[in-house]
Amino acid sequence: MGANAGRPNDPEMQRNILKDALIQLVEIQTPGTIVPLPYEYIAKV
Amino acid sequence: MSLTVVKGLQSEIYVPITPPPVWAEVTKPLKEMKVALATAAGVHLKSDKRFNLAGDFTFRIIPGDCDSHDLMVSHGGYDNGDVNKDINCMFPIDRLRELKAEGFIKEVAETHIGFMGGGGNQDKFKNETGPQIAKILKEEGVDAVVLTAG
Repeated sequence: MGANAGRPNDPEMQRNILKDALIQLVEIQTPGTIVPLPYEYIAKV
Repeated sequence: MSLTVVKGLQSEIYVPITPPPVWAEVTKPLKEMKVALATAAGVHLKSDKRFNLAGDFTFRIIPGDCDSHDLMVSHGGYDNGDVNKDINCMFPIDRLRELKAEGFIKEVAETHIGFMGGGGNQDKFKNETGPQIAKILKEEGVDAVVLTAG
């Protein structure tokens, strides 16, 4: 929630998430497929 | 373990019914695609009209060549703390430009779309807002859209 495309001010994480999402556009063969990505962001609250 | 299935159960609250997906076959490689962003996270130009936080089915056009510092969020349904620090964590327009620069995609679309999810008139979203957005992107020859949501 609040940071779908990665940690704020972390261009590398954001770029990789965007790339991985686009790669899955080509690779996914079934509607509704969910692919977990290996990124973790723990927000300071 | 066996699960008990009770037929005909109904929710006491109204929930949107998700229609079956329309499967759009990918017909070209990423490096030949024009890509747009569409977000339900309430992103729009600072100069544009804010969304009505009580529910809003309208959308805002976000030019592909905008300065990301000219963007903001009006959305009452999620913590805006991160996106207020860096719009790219919900609307990665600067990252999309970088992917174009490195040849990963062919083009950044001329037009991107911001709207406010998390409520509002679902019939309007499904029958008016959604088709209007799709029409704009289709007419601009967009091949793929990345959707983010709060």
